[in-house]
Amino acid sequence: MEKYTDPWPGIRRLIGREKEKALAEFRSREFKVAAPAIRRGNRSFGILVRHPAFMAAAASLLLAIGLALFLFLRGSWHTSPVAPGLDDLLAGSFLYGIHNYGETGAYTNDITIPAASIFTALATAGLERVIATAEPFDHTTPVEHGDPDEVRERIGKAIRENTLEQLLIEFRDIHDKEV
Amino acid sequence: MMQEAILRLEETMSIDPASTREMDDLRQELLRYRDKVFCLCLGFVGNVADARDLTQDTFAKALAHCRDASPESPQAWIMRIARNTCLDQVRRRKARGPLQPVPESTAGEWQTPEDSAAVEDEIRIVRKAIASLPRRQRDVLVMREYGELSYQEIAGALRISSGTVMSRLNRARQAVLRFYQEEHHGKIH
Repeated sequence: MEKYTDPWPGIRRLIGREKEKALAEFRSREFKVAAPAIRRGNRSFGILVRHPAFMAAAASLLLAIGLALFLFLRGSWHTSPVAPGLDDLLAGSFLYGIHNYGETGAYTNDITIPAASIFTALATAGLERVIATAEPFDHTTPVEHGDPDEVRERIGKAIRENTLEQLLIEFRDIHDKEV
Repeated sequence: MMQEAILRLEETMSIDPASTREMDDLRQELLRYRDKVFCLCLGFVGNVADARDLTQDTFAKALAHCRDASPESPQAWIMRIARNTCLDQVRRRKARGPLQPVPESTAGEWQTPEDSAAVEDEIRIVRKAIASLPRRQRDVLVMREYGELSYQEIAGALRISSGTVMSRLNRARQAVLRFYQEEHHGKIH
């Protein structure tokens, strides 16, 4: 029967040799304690900055500052401008206006094309304005048979009274109301 | 040399030279465990350069806080600081990437040329075996074999019972032996 021998002392001897040599090397140099305090401070700060929790907190802080700044400058959410809808943006587009064109190949009566409604209103208002400001004259009279001096005088009068400019202002008001 | 280290530390860390005699005694006592702390660090990190740095870090921490801590057992206290410092270092290394190979200077130059290569090889296997242990078993084994602490001192440093120390130590030794025999395919010298 084999006698049992504990193998651990062999391992301990190896560890002892390693320690002996390492200690000799350690003792051969002067032992300084002070320096690591400063180095550790810098390192821990670096670790703190790279820490995910720190970065998340920093991002949250930035977001909060951004929101506070926005509220401070704009007053509240309700005063912020509303983005224009698709209809408003494409109101002047003819193709968008006829998107309700039926399969029958004809416009239905209830179709309202945004561009048409605006320009109809503009045109109507403009004509009314011209009629109201202009002196009555015979529409049936052909221009070529009219008095050239009289035509010139009417054009000059329209320019002097800024009729065109007033018409444009009128158009703009109507357009704003439409929007 | 020890007095010089204390004086240098006091200058750098702005410790009041007129501190109490008890503090000075405690510092002196802590510095007496310098070799033990170094060996403990060596057991955790496996090379002289890192073990030296960690020993310095450990003493810097201990001497900076000994005024507030006033430990009952200075040896257990500084060993606990050393162990925590080493574990921090190991964790940082793992986060950075794989472990660096042990420098040649730590393993060579044995007393007799004929056994240097064989001993070097065996020590590397033991080192690998210890590194492969679970953390709790490794703590106890390194404190016992490298730090040369008693069961009670290990229990005090790790804040566990002596029975737990013994059972963990036994399991750690069995694991190291198993690893060694598998790697070495032979008997221990």
